[in-house]
Amino acid sequence: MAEVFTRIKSDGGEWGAVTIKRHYLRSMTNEAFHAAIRPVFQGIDEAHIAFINDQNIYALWRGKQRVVYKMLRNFVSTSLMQEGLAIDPALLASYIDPITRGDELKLMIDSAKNGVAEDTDDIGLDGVDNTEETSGDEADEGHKALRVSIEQTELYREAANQRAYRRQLHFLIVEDQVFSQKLLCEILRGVRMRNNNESPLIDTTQGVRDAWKLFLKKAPDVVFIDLNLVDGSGHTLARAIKELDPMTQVIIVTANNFEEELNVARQNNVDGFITKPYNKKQILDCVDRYIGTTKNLKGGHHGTSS
Amino acid sequence: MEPPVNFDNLRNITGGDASVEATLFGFFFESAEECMQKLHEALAANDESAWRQNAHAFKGICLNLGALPLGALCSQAQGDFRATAEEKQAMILAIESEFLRVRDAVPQKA
Repeated sequence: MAEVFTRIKSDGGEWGAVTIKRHYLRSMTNEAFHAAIRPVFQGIDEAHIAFINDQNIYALWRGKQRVVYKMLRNFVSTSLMQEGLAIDPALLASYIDPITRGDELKLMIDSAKNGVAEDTDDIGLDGVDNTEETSGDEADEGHKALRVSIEQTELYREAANQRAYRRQLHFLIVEDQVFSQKLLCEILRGVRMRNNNESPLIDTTQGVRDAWKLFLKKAPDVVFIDLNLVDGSGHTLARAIKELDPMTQVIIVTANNFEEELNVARQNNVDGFITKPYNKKQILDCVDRYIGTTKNLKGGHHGTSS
Repeated sequence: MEPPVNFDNLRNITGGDASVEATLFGFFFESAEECMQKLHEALAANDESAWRQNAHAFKGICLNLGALPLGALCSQAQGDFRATAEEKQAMILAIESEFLRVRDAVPQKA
């Protein structure tokens, strides 16, 4: 699994943030969790842990983001094993999710500061509350429009967790030209997983915002995105999707064969960049690649036929 | 003269199913006419951004269909979005002329 990690810039440095599913660690009290997790934050200038509700534990910290994140993953993995839950490493992201939105982080910091949360702990070693306004991605107006609330994120996670158990592949096509939508549908509708003969689910939409709503609601396996959309750039959508869920396969499909477009797509960590005119093989190769990367989730006996 | 449409890629996608192809052709002409209308509007409004965007969109569907000469004209229009109104008018005429060739080349009924 690709290492997933989130950095959110603030004036005082970069924050790391995760949410941990509470119900998977149900035998551990908040106090026990707090005591157990504290060593992870040794040497960290400032950290907060918030028990917002019965479902989630939020942890945020400043500095040593990657080191702390890895330690948190190990902590969660070990704790799950102690609970009798041996999980596939590829599924670990379902249990410990990087939080990718500056506004979520700000909300949690505010909650911690104002005592809004049901139970919060400042576990910073210096005890100084020097949180600053988080910047998120203020310069990108389009990206701001795609922010999600914590509740939406949780709903998305629920949908995403169901991926492993779906019998069908689920595609989302984001393309402003109906002809190109239909052509891509025609290629994809023949795709089957090898262990069943069910047609894939295919959603189509023409704009960034509608696509984002569909994505959050349905957690598709693979998203094909044109760059010039009716209400914005496909790059914005691709970036938001990969930030929220790096496991989603995002393929850019464009008639713009420009180096700068490719570079932006690379920066957004998309999984494929296909230029028009594309052929059937190019599209199906992308789907096969997705199935290959997720074969552990789905049983390892899948492929495509067309 | 280059054929207006190379159907090889499309037929590979449809498996030669004439009824599927007829449906796709219908969507192509619908999208193409909308693009041409928007190019006229962009020219009338002297809107360079709209011109470029619609030329780009038109190019995309032409390439997907296999209408490569028409796609090349759209690509040129996209790149020359700062051309004068007279030059753009000439581009539209060339695009419309090539579009008629595409229409003639496409089977009318499955």
